[in-house]
Amino acid sequence: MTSRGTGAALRLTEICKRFGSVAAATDISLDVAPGEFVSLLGPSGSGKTTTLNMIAGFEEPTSGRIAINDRDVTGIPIHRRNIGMVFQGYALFPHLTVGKNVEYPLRQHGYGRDARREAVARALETVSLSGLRDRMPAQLSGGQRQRVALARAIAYDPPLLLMDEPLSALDKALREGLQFEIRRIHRELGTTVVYVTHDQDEALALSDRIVVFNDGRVQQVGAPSELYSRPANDFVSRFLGESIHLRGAVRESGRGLEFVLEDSRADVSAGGEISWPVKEARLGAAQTMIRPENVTLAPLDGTSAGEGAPGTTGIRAVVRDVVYTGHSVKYVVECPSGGGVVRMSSSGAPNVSPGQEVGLSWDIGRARVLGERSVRTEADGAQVAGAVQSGENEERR
Amino acid sequence: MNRSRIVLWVACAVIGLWLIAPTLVVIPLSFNEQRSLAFPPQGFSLRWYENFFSDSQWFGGLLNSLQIAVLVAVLATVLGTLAAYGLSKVPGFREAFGRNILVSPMIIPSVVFGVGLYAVFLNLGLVGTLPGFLIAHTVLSVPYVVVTVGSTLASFDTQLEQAAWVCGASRARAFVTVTVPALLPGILSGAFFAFITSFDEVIVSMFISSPYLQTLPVRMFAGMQREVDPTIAAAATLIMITTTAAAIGGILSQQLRRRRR
Amino acid sequence: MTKAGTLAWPALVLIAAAFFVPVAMIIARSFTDPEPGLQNYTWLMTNATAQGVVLRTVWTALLATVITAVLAYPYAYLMATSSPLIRGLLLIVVLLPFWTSMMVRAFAWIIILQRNGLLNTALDAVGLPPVAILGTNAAVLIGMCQVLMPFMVLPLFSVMLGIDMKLPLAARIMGAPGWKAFLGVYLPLSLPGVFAGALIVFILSLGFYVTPALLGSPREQLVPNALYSQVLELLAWGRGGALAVALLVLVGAVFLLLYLVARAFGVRIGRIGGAAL
Repeated sequence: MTSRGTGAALRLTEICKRFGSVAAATDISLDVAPGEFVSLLGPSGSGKTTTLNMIAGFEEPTSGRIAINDRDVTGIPIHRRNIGMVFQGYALFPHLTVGKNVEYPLRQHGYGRDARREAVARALETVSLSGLRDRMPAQLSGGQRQRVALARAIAYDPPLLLMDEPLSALDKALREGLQFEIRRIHRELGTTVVYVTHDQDEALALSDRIVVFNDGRVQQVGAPSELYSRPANDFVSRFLGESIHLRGAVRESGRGLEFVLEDSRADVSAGGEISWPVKEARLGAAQTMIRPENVTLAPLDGTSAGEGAPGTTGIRAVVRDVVYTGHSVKYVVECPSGGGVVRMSSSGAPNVSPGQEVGLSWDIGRARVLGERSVRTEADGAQVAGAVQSGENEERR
Repeated sequence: MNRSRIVLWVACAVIGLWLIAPTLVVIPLSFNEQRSLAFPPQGFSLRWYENFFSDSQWFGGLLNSLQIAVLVAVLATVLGTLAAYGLSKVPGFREAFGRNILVSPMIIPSVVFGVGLYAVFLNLGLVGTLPGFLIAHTVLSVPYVVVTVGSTLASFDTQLEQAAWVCGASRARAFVTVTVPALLPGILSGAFFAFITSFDEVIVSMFISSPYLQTLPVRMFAGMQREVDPTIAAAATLIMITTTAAAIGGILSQQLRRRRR
Repeated sequence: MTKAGTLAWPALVLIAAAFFVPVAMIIARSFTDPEPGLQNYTWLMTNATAQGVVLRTVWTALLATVITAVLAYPYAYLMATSSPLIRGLLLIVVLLPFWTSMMVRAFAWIIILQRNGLLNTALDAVGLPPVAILGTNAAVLIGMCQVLMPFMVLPLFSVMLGIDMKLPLAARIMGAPGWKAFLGVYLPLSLPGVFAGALIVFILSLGFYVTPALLGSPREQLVPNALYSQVLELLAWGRGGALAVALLVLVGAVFLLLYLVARAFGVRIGRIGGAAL
């Protein structure tokens, strides 16, 4: 890999930001390794943008520390933080040509004339816009503007590149094309990237790691696959992808901990309780989450799917809606202990209609136990700490 | 087009004529051969323009007015731009308060200001001096700059400044290299309007002028009160050309902003 | 961010020191000149000439406001309902005189309205008797309203531009005749513009000096002209001050009145202030 610069390490230590009595961000701790691509993901108002603004220097944290390459930057003015940034609204200087826009940071950083010309040409080439150097921003399309913004941000090889929802103003096709380019540019430059988005798919597609935000707090940090398959809590599981959620409780049994489904009459095979052993979980009310592709849905016709196969279990549910989406069929299902979404690939999708009763079955190893949604407040703190911990473990591996 | 629409058009054409045409009668009169303001003028001559440029009171008045107006345009534009920008960065209540203070010279009758300033200037010895005129006219022009720059600022994307900071520009540098160019249409039209405000000002100027330092409008006012002199028509034509040019400049600068989108 | 706010200080200091101090000074003079007391206000309240001046000023300002409103309304309506090109032309027609010297325009009216002026030449040509308008209040109003038109047209236009033209249309579809749809729907919606324009026009009319001095009669003075002659010709600073206070009180009263009306109609005063310029 031909990386031009080296990425910076970024460390946030317990940053908080309050606006008056409103806490916009609470106890944000995060370690980003040099060259890593980290997304801050969350709904609007979740604190992700506030966090980015504090890294950039547009906001000063109320408490906590931000360090870039072990240099504490809290209190250091924005223009001396050596960062590049791509803004949601492009923020191209309207009075300057494309070339002058890209040249602007080079001028500010004291590059000589030849070095500037060379760097501008290289940056524009990187985003495949070499021909547009003398255009004005107003003459460009949305996608082109975002490329220019990208070129400007990377022109002087900043060790840290911040991106604030850079693709949200573009339409879907353009967005996917640019995602691909952002990934390529990241690979080529080796810059550390912190990328803010509210789009789960974008975060999953681009990131080495994702930081999930909600209510001003970090909910979980981890690699995309980890967040998807092992969400730390209800919020993360619902925010990242589709799933079925079922209520129940964790209790102690002779062989260790086990999860018991709340309404066991739902059992497909027998009248007894449905339970399965689980590892680490807190005792008491809890819920389990299963991703749609791990659930098999079958019409109830005597031989139900949940029966027989060792290590699997199943329940009855009612189909509320069936949506054909091309490569798969999406079923919205409901049962006494919960409900959610099941997906079957189009070829093997059973033909059922809304209102029909079906059997759902899954591998118990694929069911993940989460804390109960309603008892979140205190439990969350512990989970967040755990999440950050697990993120750091990940990195050391 | 229905009947009521035609009536509306005719009415508006008459109103438009009333707004624009009367002023134009001044121009032919300034080329009158006779020493008369009667209409229609007789013959054609440039004698009143010759008279204007050879009379130290008239020509001197024009030079004074131009000098004051240019300096005032610079002063008011700098002060008003900084103020409009500064106010846009402070929270709502203080912003509204500051803005109301800055535009009050537009609202309070200038006779009141003029007589008060006359009282103050008498004490300070500023009557009939260049600094006196600069102070008076800048006070009257700052509101126009605050309003035009303020309206440009309302549509100014503050992300542009953030982008400049991230690119490595200090606040002052970002202001000069990004904010000012982006606000330029508003700043320019503010400058033109400040120029006109000063160049045209009569009421306050009458209070604070002296025989040693008079502006062109003051000289013209005095002339109109006592003599029948087509030189006034020549002066009026020159004033009109100057202010119309500046006004067109001001309106064009605002168009510049629209073209940039 | 508070640092950027300090950029406003130079202008604020200038306006405070060079505008509010002088205004306060002349107010103070009204209570102290020639000797401390209220004698200047007694004069203002009891002297028939002084009262005549104040009443005439208010009356003239009212007339000017009504006349400009009546003339500006159709003009603004035409602007708001025309294509962008026509609209731009109409806007230039209003804006250009906005920035043409008040002095030049007064001079032009003298040429037109004087005894052997353009108007009488034209009247003579069609066989009508000459008229003597110059030196009357009518001449003052003609000149004033011409200057004031833009201040009425612009706020009216900006409010009318925001009126959804489907509303009066809807009223007509529901069976209201054209004039009823206009009076019942369009006119009420455009009232904020009328208020805004009336506010600024009335306040500006109170301060006219040049036009009355040149087109009106010295026997029918308005407050600004009386103020000028009291101070500069009679050196009666105190009486001049009292006249200045009268002007300020009138301006303040108009603001208060408009604020109350606006509140009764549910129009925010902030918007009116904004539309005024």
